[in-house]
Amino acid sequence: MTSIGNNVHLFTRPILFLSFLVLGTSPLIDAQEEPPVEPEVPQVALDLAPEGMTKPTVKSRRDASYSDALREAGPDGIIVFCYGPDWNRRSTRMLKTFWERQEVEQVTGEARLLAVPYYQNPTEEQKEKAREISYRMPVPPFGVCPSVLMFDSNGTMYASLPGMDYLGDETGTLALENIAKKLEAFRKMRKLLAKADEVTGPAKAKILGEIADLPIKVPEDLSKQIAEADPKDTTGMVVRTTHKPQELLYKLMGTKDGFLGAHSNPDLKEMITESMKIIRNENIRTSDRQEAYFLLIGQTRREEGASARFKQLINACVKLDPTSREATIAKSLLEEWGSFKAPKHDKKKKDKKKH
Amino acid sequence: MKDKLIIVGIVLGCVGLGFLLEPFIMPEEQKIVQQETPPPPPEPVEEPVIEPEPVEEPEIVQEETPEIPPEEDPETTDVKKMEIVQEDNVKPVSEEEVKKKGPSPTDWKHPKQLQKKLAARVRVSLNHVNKDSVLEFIKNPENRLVITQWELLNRADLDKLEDLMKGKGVVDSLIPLLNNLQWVSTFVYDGELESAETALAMIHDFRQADPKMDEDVKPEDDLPVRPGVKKRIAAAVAVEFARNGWYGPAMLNKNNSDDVKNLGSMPGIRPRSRKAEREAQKNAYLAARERYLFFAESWDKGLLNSQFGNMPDWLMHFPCGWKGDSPFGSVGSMRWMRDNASAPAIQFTGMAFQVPYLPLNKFGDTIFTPLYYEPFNVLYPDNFAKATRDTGAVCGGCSHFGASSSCANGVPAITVGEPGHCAYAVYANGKWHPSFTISDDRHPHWKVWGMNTWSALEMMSDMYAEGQRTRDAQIMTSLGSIMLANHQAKKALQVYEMAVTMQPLYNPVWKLYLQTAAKSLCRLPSRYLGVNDFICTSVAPKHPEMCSHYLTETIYPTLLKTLRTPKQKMIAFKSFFDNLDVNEKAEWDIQKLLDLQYESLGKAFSNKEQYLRMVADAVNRRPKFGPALSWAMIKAYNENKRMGDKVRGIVDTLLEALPKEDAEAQTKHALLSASVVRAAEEMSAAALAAPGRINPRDLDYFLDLANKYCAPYLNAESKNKMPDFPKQQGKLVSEGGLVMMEKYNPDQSSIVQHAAALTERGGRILSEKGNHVKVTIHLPLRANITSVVIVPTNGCKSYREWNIETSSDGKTWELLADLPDSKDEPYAIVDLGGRSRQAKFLRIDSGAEQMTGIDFKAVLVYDKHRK
Repeated sequence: MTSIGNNVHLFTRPILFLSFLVLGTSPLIDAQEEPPVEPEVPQVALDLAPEGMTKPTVKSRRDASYSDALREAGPDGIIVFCYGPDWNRRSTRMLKTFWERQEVEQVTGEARLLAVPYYQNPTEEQKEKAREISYRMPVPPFGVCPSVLMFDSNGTMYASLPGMDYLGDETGTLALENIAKKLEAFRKMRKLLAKADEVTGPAKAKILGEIADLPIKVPEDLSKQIAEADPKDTTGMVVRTTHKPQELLYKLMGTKDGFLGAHSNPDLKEMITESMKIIRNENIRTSDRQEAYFLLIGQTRREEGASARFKQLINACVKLDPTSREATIAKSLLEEWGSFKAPKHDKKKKDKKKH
Repeated sequence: MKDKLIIVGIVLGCVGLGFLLEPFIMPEEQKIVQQETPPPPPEPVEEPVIEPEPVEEPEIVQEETPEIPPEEDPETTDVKKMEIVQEDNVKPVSEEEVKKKGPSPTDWKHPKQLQKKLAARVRVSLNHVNKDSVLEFIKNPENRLVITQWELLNRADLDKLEDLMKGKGVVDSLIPLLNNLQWVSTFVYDGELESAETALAMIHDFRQADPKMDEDVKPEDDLPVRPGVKKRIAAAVAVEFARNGWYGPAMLNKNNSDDVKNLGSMPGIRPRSRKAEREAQKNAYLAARERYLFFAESWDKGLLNSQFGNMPDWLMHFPCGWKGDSPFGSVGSMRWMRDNASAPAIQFTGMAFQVPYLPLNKFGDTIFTPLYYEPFNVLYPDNFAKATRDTGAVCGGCSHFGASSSCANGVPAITVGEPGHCAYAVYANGKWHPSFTISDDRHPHWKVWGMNTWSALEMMSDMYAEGQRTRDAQIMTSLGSIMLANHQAKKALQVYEMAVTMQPLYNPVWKLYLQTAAKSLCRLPSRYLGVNDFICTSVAPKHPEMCSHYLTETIYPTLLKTLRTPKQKMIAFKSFFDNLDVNEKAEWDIQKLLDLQYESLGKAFSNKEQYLRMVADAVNRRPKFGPALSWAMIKAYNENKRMGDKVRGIVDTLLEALPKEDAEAQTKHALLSASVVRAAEEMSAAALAAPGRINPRDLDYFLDLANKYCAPYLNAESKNKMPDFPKQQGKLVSEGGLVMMEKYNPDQSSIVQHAAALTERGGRILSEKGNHVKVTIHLPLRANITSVVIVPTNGCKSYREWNIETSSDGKTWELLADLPDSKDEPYAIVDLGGRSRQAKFLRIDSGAEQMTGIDFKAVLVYDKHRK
């Protein structure tokens, strides 16, 4: 952003902030209501609005650049729609059919809104334009467009909705639902973080544990914070947030990176003992506990075929949460693997001589 | 009066009949009287006299092998300057004109007769063959159409085609395409059309399913689009599905095989019930139709990458012909990827990283069994792509996901095989971008002219990039084939020669040309040398591997029999080396070419020596062709000791001549030295691999050889920082040793790093990837090993199990240590705890399923009894 208006704003920002501290109210907000003091939305910026998009009005939360959005961002952060003007016709259409809809403003609370073009073969002019709009903004994951990206007021991405699985059709009805859900989760996270700051010890761990279950990207050091707050894991939140089914799998299968070496020969008894510790621990997420069952189901099938134990394990897995994705998978195994017979040669091979 | 009329009628009838039968009854010998004798290709002006030099004269090495001044071939030059016929500017033949002049529906119902008619028409219209007449002839759109239609029929089983054309409504459905020059050209020439009758049957099927194939939906923006997108999609899909056999019962069997049994459902392609199977047999072309409809509908709805509509037709074959027999090619998978993995073209190089790299699934089943995906089928019916992204994969699945997402969005991509790995490549911004790659040794899973080499793919891409020139050469090639069919061999030869000259990168014309020319070329060795020279000049600079392929597969088998003296052969061989580009690497099987050349020279020592000098000289001028020098050293040594020393002397002279203060010369010095070291390592490895034939003196000779050429580089600063490890007692006995590997990594630029890796400064030993990769170290002296320190480049955790063995003679091996559970440490120490093991060789095995091969900074061997 190179406009004079913007530069004025940058210079006056510390002063405005000091006034806020002294007066308790933001002169910036007042200034927005007073027409003479309105340097925030300069005319140059208005001209940079992406093609096909209505130019932002003074009261609109739609910004012309990421820098503008960051500057204006409040607690609800920034929500960005990425489209490909020179290669992706669908996303370009969605600017009008979805992003410009009034409903977008309705479901996004106070979040700043921004449409960012993502070019394939930009001209010099387009490069410059894209740079001005999205300067310092992270690119959409894997460059997928259309995408909706959601940032907090510092510019940290807390959610992304890439592609039509998340956005639905070109009207973006599903996208609106998903944005609302993610924003709600984000608001909840902010509240919980504030609440957690007021307490210590296991109480703090419990609140932070709630955050870990939210369907958004949570702070990277969350598990560490929980462990520090509750070193003895009295709340069970430490194991809940640190348990990784993949690690359990590799440990019990006797492999470091997933490739089975010739000497790998997992022991079913040991596997049962270790897995049951996870399955019985109700602090651990149900889906993770069901995955521990998966491991037992797989090993039982390899050793015994579709034995009675195999079927028992499937039923037990389903019982944990019959409506879950994992239960659907487990139930299908009765048909897929129901006719498996026990292998004839159960002799363990030891081709690795110890020296 | 009546009698007169009858006589006139008979005369006219005879004349007419004679005219009609003329193409079939006139003997070729009568015709060729009028033909111009084709001017001979460039003759070598002066054949250099190659005389055996006295072996003691090292200056001969620096002597430039006589250059063959390129003589301009008037024919060649003229052809290159020929005006290119702009097909896009050619006025399309209107339907009315087609009705008048083009083959009628009845003609198409009798393809055999039609093909003869078309050939006859060419014969009648083109009496004289010279460059002007041919160019003039192919400029005419009607002639181009006739030629292309003949070529189409040439690539069909005419009996089957006749059966097809007699089907109800088939001709009416196809004739607007078959008589359209633009479309029929792309159908015949922009891919590798095989089984044209099957491809046409598919297109008829597509037209039934999509009556609006000819209609273009106007895009909502002003991005460039070439008209007839859906017709071009139809051509691309049909050609690829037909040539790959993705149709009919074979397709059903293929998809019922155990390999793909559990990889995900593919409605229409892999039916599960008998009823569905019967239904699919009725719909032999269902898979192709689904693919066509996917692209046609996606294009109409503006869901593909916008560049798709403006893409050259040959590129369209890649997305349209994306794996029709793979679950990644099912409509469900492609639709999902189009909607959820849509990115700017170049970004597809990173799309594979969406898939988690997981060799075991959640049930502990390995990726190498169908059981890996089976439990998740319930969640992803007909969407293997999403199943892969959510479940995981290893290199094959990740690369298929990346390439598949690209193709589903209309951006060309292919998967490629690399040693022990699967990668992929995306075409963006005018070139192929390899991705997820670990090696330069890659083979596309896409056949180009019957080959699956990377260089063939690149050459084909370069060829098509020359648009109109290539198309003209293709039309000329077909014209030559028509003449051949008309028994006009000499004219055919002339036309083929013009086509070859116009577009030397067009592989099929070379085969036709050389087959036709074989007899006459064999009678004229100097002319054959001209052909050899032309191939080297036009192909070797940018596509040396393809040039080598041409030479070894098509030119040498007859040329070398034709050339009687080694002198002539040397001229032919020199042409290849002279035309190599300075910056091209020889990371391909150059040994095959060199072996063929070398063996053809007979047993005379002097000829062989002269040849090896020429190779050394060529590498001196193009140091990136170092593998050729390694080959020369090995060859010479295997010949006899004297020859080995001779070549060694040649290399020494070359190295000494390099100015020390010149940085570029020193880079060359390093590359040449590395070539010698590599030769020493390979010879040692070969000697060790031949049990019972190891001569200890030989091994010592190789050791000395490597040490001598490594010496200038041993004190150079190492880029690899060594970790601090406990100081070991005794003398470091690995220093001055020789590293031997079965599989070299072509990415390792300097093999002198091997010598450094045997010192405490550290270097790099990098092997090709694979299982049980072995690295053997020939110690400079027989040592009593008391400890060994191994420093992997990426730490010990990158290895699961190692075996370290020792040997006194290189024949029998004894286990020294077994490191099954490597810890997360930067080095590993094998301490024999006061005991020692006498050995001359030490060998490390990277372990089972160690797909990363060997990558060490150092292997240090200590003997505490030595100070």
